[in-house]
Amino acid sequence: MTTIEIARDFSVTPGPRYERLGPNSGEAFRRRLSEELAKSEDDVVVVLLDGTEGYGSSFLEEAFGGLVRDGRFSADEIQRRLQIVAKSRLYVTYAKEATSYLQDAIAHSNPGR
Amino acid sequence: MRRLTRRFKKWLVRRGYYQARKGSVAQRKRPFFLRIPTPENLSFTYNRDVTQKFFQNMRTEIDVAISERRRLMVDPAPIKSINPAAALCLLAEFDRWQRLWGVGRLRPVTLRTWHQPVVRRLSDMGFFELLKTPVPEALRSGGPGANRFIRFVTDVVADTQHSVTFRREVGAPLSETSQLSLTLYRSLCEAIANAVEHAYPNPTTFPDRVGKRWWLMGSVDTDQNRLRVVVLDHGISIPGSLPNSRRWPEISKLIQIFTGEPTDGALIEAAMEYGRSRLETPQRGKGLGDIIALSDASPQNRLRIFSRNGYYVRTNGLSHSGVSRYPINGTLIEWDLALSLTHDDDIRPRD
Repeated sequence: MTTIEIARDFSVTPGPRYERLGPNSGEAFRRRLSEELAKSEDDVVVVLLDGTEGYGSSFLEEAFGGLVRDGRFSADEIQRRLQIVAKSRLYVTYAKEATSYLQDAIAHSNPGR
Repeated sequence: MRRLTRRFKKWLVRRGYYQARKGSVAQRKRPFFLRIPTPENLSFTYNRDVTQKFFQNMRTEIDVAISERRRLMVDPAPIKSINPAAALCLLAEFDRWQRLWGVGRLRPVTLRTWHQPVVRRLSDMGFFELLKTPVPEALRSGGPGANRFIRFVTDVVADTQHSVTFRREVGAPLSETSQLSLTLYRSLCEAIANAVEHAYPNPTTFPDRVGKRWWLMGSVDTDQNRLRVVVLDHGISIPGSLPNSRRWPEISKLIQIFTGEPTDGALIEAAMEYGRSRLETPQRGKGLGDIIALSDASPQNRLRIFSRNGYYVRTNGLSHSGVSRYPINGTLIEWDLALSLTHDDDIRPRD
């Protein structure tokens, strides 16, 4: 199991949706997450959201919803190998929101399911 | 008839030049040196029409002064009271002017005649640092006071580090791990990213020297326990960008059903209420919702948006919109927030 703590391993100040808009973007984090998932076929990747200054919805949507749209990993594989968690109750809302973006993107990619 | 000698030809050419020069001077209607006085009360709350007219006039005269290399003086000496939103607009116009002018700096030549509380507030927000002019200590008066302005920040990219700088400037009233600071961060991220992504859709909508610029500042009133946060851009405005939306036919139909005509106020309200941003793929359109979320976090909070000729106000979950007589240059977003619920113990997590 690999843990990515966003505040420690990426940035305390998660930024906008796209890299062209500013630093620490959701797009940049999605690439990082994608690389981590690609390292092994079975390893579970846990993303810990606590400790940042906060999150914009665009960052979360691009990081997690964008991972599904990217198409590098199947929806099943993402659901099996990715966990989005928060320890502090202030960040639990973000974990739920990120998970909902992931589920929405999966639903859009497989409208029949 | 006189013979057209070489000497006579030369004289005719010289006379032509002289008359042309004389004519162009005579045609010049504007004086070489123009002074624009500011209103006494620079406020979008209590003196909106006059304030918006002043900024409109200031922008026009600055652009003329730059294109014709003319001298212009905007004199803030008459200002007796100024609110944060108007102060940020004033600062942004000076910033834009200085960047477009390109050489030297703007000088506050009448500084000693400015009202002391106004000087103090402008000094707090970094106005004189922008003009690279030190303010004498005597003019600043003592102490920050109960109602102080927060130092402005400006950039051309959506660098969220500025939100942290802003929170630190606010200081103790905004704790690092409160629900309010997290929600504020979220709203600022989206407001700033929206400005960079949508306010300036192509290079003709902003001058090179200014860029896709946004400005952020605020004020803290510790007596009233209020925090004001203001974000400004000089872009094409929300009503200006909405017609590019793929949902535009649908939105305009809805506006016609509910309000009759697509006024700028109705367009802003439509953009906010329907959560439509300019690009309408399924994963888009969440940014404006985040801007509303901060105002909905407490019934005592208020959100105001001024964009082109329209305005939108939201408080306690209710909103209304309207049209101003004079347009604003770009989009101004202002949150007026209650600071009473900033501690973790006072907040239950929102699902």
